[in-house]
Amino acid sequence: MPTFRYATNRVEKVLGLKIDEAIKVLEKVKAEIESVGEDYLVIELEVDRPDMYSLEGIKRQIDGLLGREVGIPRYTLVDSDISIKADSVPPRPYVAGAVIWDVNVDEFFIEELIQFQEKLHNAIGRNRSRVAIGLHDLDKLPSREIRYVLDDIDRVYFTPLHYDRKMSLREVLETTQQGILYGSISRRDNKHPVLYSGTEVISVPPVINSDITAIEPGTKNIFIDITGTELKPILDTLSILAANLSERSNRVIGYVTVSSPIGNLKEPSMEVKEMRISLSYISSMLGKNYTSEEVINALKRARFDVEEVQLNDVVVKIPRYRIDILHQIDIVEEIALFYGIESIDYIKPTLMLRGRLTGYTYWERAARQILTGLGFTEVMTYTLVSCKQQTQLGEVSDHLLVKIKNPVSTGTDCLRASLIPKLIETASLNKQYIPLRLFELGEVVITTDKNDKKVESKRKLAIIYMDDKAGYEDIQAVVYTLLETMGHSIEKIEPLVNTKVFIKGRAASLRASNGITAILGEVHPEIIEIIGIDYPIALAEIDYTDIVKL
Amino acid sequence: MDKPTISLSESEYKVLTKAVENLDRDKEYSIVEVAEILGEDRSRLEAIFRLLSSKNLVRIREEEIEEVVVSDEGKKYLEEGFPEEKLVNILRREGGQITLDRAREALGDLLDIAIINAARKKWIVLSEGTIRLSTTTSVSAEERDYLRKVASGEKINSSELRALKKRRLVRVVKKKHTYVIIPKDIDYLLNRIVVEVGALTKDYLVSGRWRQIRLREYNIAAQPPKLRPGRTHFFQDFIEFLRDIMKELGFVEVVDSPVELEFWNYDILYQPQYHPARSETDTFYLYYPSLGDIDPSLAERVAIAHSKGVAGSTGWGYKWSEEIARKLILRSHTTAVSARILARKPKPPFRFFTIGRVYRVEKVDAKHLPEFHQMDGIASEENTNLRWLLGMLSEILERMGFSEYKFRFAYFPFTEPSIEGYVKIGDTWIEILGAGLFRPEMLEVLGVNYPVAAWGIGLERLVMALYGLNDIRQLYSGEVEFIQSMKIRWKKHANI
Repeated sequence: MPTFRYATNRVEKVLGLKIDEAIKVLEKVKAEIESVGEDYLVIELEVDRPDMYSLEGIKRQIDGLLGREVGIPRYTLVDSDISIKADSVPPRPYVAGAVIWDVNVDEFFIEELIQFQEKLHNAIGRNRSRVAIGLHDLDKLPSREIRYVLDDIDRVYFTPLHYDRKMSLREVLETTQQGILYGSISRRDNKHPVLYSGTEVISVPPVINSDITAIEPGTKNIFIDITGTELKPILDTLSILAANLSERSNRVIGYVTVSSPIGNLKEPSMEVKEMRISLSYISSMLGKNYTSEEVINALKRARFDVEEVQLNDVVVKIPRYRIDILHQIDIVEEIALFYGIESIDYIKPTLMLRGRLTGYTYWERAARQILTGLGFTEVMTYTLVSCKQQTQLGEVSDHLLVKIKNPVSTGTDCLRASLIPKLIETASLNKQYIPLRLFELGEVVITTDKNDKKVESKRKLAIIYMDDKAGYEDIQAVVYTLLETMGHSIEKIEPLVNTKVFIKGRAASLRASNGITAILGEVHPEIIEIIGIDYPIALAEIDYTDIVKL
Repeated sequence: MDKPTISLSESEYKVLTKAVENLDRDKEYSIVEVAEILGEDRSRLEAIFRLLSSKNLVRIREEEIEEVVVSDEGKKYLEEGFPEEKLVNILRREGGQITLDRAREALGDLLDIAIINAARKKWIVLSEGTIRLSTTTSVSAEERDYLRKVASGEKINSSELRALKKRRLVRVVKKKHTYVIIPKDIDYLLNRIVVEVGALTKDYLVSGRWRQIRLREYNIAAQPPKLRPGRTHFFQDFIEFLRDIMKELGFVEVVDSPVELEFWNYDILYQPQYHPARSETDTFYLYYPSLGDIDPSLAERVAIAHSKGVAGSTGWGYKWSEEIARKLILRSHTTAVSARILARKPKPPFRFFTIGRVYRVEKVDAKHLPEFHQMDGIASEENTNLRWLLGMLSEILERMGFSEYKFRFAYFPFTEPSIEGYVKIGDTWIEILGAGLFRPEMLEVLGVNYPVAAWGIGLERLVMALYGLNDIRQLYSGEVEFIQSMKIRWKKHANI
C-alpha cells in the first residue's frame, strides 16, 4: 500500500484538527497510521483511492465524515486560454491538460505536490509508462499555445528541471538519472515525445520537464500536462489532480482544449456518474437492514449526492474523481464504512456441512506417524532452489525444471523438482548429530504438455539416513516398513541404472501398489565429497502423487 | 525380625561368600595370599575388602613395609650377565690376557665396574695396562643368586642386601600390605546381608533370584541422558491443526500446483493488468515454461469485464491483453486456487479451503521470504454476506485459540466489501487475514450467480508469533537440534 509523509503542522492546519483527533478520524476513512514522528506523520492509503493521495483530498473526505460539508463539492469549470495541438505521437498518443489558479505553492506544499504526483504515477500510471504528469508554473509558459509532437532527439535542446545548462534530448535520455529510469518508455529509435510552449521545450514526457516552467515556492497558478498510452487513465488522473489542487483555492478549474488526429478534447471534466441501488441489495450484501434515510445520510457524508427515487431505490451521484466506484457493491461498502464495522454484529455459522481433507493429507499424516516412530525428524525446506543443485544432487533432468525469469538470487532460480538436493544439504548442516534421520514431505513441480499451466505437481517424500555406516539395506528397510505398514505391497524392484546420485549396484527403483514409485540407495562418495560430509548417506525418494486421482 | 540389615552390592557379596568358603576364620591372610586362593585380581579384591570392612563384615589391617625390588640395572645384569663375568669370558677367549685398551673396546663403559668387581673377587690381576686371568674355574657372581631371590620374593640376609645395595642392583620401596581376617561371627553376619542389584535382569526373573536381592536405590534426581525423538516439524503441526479446524467447520480441502497463469492469479480476480503488483518487481515470472493456455470463451468474458464492464460495472476501461494473461508466474496468493474451484461452479452450500505456498519478489531477511504459506477459504450458502463472513472468521479465529481479534475495512481488487483481520498475541496486534465478498464482475465472468465469501490467512507471521520466533528463516531452519527443541503446543490446542 502506498505511504505518504506529511508535516504534522500541515495535517493539523489542512484537516482543522489537533493531531490526536486527526489520527482517530483518519482510521475511519481507511487511512492507516504507519508511524508518528515528532513533526511528521506517515499514513498508509488504499491503492483504490488516489483521490485521497493529497491532504486536500483527505480533508474532503473527513469534512463529510465530520459533517462539516456533505455531498459532492461544487467545482466551477471555466475556459482557460491554453490550448494543445497534438501531432500523431504513436508511442504515447494521448495528451490532455488543465489549469488551476491560486494554488499558491509554498515550501511545504511543493513537497506534497511531488509526493502526490509520484504516487499517482505508481498507482495509475504504471510507473509513468501508462500515465505521466507534468506540472508547470502557468505564468512562466512562454506561449499559451502548446504543441505535442514526436521529435528527433538530436535536434531538441533544453535545460532539464534542476539542471543549469542546455543539453540535447539524447543527452537527457542517455545520461541524466531520470533519462536512465524513464528514457526508454516512449522513445522510438531517435524519436521522442516533446511538449513545446511556442518554440520552447516545456516537457519531454514521461521523463522530465524543462527548467523554465519549474514550480517553486511562490508559484501561484499551475498548468498540468498529462500524457499516456490510454485515454481513460489520463482523464481519470487529470480530474483527480484538478479537483484536489482546486481545493486549495476556490474550486475553479480551467479547461484546456486539445486538438489531435485521434480526436478533440475539452478537459478536465467533473461530470458525475449515476448509479441506482436498491435497499434490498445493500442489506443482502451486508446482512443488515438500513432505512433509506440511513443510506442517504451515509452516502452524503461520504461525499456523494443521493436522492430517493422510489421507496426502496436510491440514485447515487458519484463525483468524477471517485474512479474506484465501478459497481453498486462499491457504494454498499461506503455505507458499511460510514457506520463502522463494529455496527455489524456477527452471526456464527449454523449450517452443518461435512468437511473433508485430501487423500494426500491423510497419507502424509500416516507416513509422519510411522517415520517419527522410526526415529526420523521432519524438516521443511524452501521450494525456490538452485537449478544447478537440482540437476547435480537430484535425479532430475534439466528440461523438467521450472525456471524463474526474475529470481531474487542465483540460488533460487528454479522450483524444486526433487526433495533430495535440499535434504542432502540439510544433512550436511547436522554432521554433529550422527546418527541422523530426516525426512521431508512436499510438493515438487515438473514441466509437462498435459495441462494449461504447462507444469504439473508431484507429491514426494524424501528420507535420509546418515551414520558411520549407512547402507542400502538401512534405507530399504525403512521404505519397505513404511510402504507395507501403509498397505502398499511392493510390486517390483530393479537396479537403478543411469544414476548420478547413487552408487551403481547399490540403488534401486521400486514400484508399489496404488501407483507408488520410489528410488533408493547409497549416495555416491563423489556427491558426499562435493557436499563436504564425512559420513555415508542412504536415502530414498517416494512419489505418491498417484494415490489420489484429482 | 528387626535385626539391622547390611546392604551389599553383587560383587561385594560374591567376594565375601567366596572368602568365607575358602579362608579360615580369625586368621590373618595377606591380600596376595587371598588373591591366590580366590583366583581374583589383587587390586580389585583390595577395594572390595575395604568396602566390606567399612560395613564391619571383615577386618583388615594395613601395613606399610619396605620392600626390596630389583633395579633396572639389576634386571639388565640378570638378563645379560654381570660385567665381571663378561670380562672373564673375554679373557678366556683371548688366551688369558688382554690389554686394557682391547678390554675397553669389548666392554665399553662397563669395563671399570667389571675390573673392580673381578679384582675384588680375585678373578683377575691388573698390571701395567694388561689384565690377566687368575682363576681357572668357572665363575659366577654371587650377587646373581641374591638378586634372583629378590626377584622371586625370597628373603635375603642383611649382608646380602648390603652387597646388592652397594652395587645399586636393588631399590628399597615402601609398600602397603593389606591383611584380611574373616571374623568368627561371620555366619551370624551373613544372615543379615541383603544383596543390592543395579539392573534387574532377565536372569533374576527367570531364576527367581529376584526374591533374594534388593534393587539398589537410585539418585532419582540425577539428569538422565538426552534423547532425540523423531519429531514432526512444528510448522507442519500447526498446518495440521488448521486443517482439523477447517474440516470441523465443514470445509473441503483442495490443492493445486503453485505455478499459475497471470490469468488465474490476477485477471479472473478482476485485477487490472496495469496493477503495480503485476510486474517483475512484485511477481515471479517463469522463464521456462513461459506461456500457458486460456479457454478462449473465458478469455473473451474477462476481456469484456476489464474493458467495458459486466454485471452493471463500468469496468476498468483499458484494452485487455490475452498475451499478458497467458504469462506463467508463481502464484502470489492461494486465491488463485479458489478461483479455479469457482470456475467449476460448485453448487451452494459449499465450503472449500486450501493451504499452499505462495511467492512474492522479496529479498530474504528476518521478516521477509520470497515464499510463504497461505490458507485460503471460500464459502457460499444462503445469506452469505458481510455479517455472515465476520461470523465465520470469528469462529475460525476462536477455534485457533484467539479470544481477542478485530476487523477493519480494507481494499483488495477482487473483493468488496474487503476487510482485514487482526489477532492479539501477547501485547501485539498482528494482521493475519484478508477477506471479503468476491466482486460481482469476477463472479459474472465465472458464471457464478450467487455471492461468495473468501478469505486468506498468511501462516508464517502467525506461527512466528505463536512460537516466539523473531526470524522468519527459523521456520525453514534445517537445524535438527532447533526443530527437536520446539515445544509442542498441545495445551493451546486443548485450550488448557
